[in-house]
Amino acid sequence: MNDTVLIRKIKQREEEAFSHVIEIYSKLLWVIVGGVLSKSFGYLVQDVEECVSDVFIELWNHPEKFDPKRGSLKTYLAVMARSKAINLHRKRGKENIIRLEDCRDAEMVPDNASTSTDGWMDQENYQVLYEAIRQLPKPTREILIRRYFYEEQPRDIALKLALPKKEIENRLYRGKKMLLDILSDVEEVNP
Amino acid sequence: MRPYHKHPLEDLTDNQLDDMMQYMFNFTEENREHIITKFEQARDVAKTKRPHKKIAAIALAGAMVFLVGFTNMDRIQQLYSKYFDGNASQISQYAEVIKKSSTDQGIRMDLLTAVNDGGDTYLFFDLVDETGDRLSENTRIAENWRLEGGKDLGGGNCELLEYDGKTKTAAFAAHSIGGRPGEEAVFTLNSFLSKKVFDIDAKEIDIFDLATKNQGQFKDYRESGGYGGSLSQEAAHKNFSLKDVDQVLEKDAIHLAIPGYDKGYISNIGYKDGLLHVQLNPDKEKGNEFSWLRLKNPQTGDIVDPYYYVLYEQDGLKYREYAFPIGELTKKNLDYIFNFVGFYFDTVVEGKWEVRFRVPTHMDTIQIASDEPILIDGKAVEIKKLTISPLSISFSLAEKAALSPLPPEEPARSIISGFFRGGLSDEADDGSDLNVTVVYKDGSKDVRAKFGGIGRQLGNYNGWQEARISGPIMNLEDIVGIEINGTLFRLKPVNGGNQ
Repeated sequence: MNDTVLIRKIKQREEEAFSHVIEIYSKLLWVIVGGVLSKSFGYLVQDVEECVSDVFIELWNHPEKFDPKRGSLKTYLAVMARSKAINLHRKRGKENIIRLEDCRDAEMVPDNASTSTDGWMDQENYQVLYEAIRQLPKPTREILIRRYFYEEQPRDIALKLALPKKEIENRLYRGKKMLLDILSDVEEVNP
Repeated sequence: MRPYHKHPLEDLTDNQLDDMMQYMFNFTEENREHIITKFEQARDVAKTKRPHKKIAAIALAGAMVFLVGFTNMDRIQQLYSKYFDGNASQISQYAEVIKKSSTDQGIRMDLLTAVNDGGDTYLFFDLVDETGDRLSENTRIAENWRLEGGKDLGGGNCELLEYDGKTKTAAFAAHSIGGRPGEEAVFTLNSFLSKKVFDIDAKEIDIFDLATKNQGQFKDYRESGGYGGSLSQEAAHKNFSLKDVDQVLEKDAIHLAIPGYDKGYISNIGYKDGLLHVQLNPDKEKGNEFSWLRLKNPQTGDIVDPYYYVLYEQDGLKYREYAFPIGELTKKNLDYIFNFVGFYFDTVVEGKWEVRFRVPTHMDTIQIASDEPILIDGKAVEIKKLTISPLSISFSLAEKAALSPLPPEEPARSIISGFFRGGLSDEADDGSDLNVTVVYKDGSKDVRAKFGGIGRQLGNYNGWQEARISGPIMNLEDIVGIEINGTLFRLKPVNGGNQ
């Protein structure tokens, strides 16, 4: 089922289309939501299930809100998942971890929103970035994943990992340098 | 037009996403199934709320299609309609379909659904007699059920909603206070009962003769282990309160059996200040009975209800004392017979039916700013966390002079908690100190609860207390605000509230 057909069927609320969407996007949404509603904050696996299912429910209830001209269905669902997870987190009174300015949803994102990779990383190359980060030692690996894939602030990462903020910043600095080395090697192999 | 902001994780491969799981809950097929189930439940509810454009086509499709279309959600809607007084669609969007069963003694218990409003948990379940005919319209579940687990989960009521003789199925709703979404809870049933109603005229007892021969002595009510009672409307209109009761009969001065009534006996009788006092001692071994003593005119059938009655417990026995307004103690004024009406429960089947489930996600609530103090017994009381859900009103309160920081998430256990359906509770007549009213946009008001007793407790506590009124549904969109003791708190959401 190609995207055009899928979107048409979603707008017509065809159950088969929704089954397909759940099948292919559940894992991605799980990772997005799970990074926000983490065990260390007292969330349960049911909270993550609930939040992910809410994304699909929202799509069922309001398929017209998805505008293909603004991006892919995948991106739309990912934005919604992140937004719902952050909202839930905020509702539960844990907003000290995720700040208001971090909350972005489909309506709040500016046209040229910068990513936390500070412009030094092409957004399309996240697979390469991820592989590079995997080569880093612990806990630098998780720190960089949280920084670049969940766009968490250093102080929030510090709270989550129970490490001093200064250490997080140092590891980010050193990790970034190591990443540049790894990535330049990659570039040499694949010019 | 602003493009959707692409998420960094979107570009990762499936294997990379798998690798990410080490930083979070692992994603399993079971999780995917749960997500699908939750989605399908919500979708089914949404379908029922949408206009049916294809009704004609569905009708033509025949009976078979109709039966298939009669989904579990339809049944849940029916049960919600019965329990929540017709506002089922508003509530059922929050329903969690459980569909778990437990069988014992040839009777199957099907736990159908649960709903949670942030403070209370409601369960809906069926009992199905697979081997006999032990259920009926009189089947009741009283004390032998438990809902445990989850935050503060416990207590509550269990109510028969309907009985279907063809399928031998009795449907119930259980309401429990507490329950944190996502936590595992256990619902256990150990027996069910059959309700027996009685209406006995004790013609053999000469009330005047009994009252004059046994002039019961009185003692201080406060020393008698008193714990409640009720007032007639007449007493309430005269501003009489249970607080005004100061004398009750000495216990067990006589032992007079009541013909046709084996659940207790008359244990004292006496006259004081225009009131005939009759003390009833329910038989401890044959308890579990709810009776009401009245005077009945044997010629006309006219009934005289007690002016008030009080309850007190001594040595493990629960006494009831009824006070009838008779004027002077004369034969003419006592030309009555005793009339006992009430009901009791016989245990029908004992066993163990147990089902585990997760407390569902709670429905949206609205918090209302409550920046003005109210007056209770002339004392300024501050109201905080005034919250309404489609199922309840709740708030914390503390005497302004003795304020301590508001407990953020763990309020004190409720000192007032009631379940009010279709009217005021019996306790409402007890010289109410805390009146809670829902005010609607069309100007109408719905008196939700009058609590007696809280005023008396205000002087004794230092911290915040939690008030909660569970009960009839209201349409949140039509509400102006909540009025507490004459002070209207308008719907202006504060942090954490949704509207």
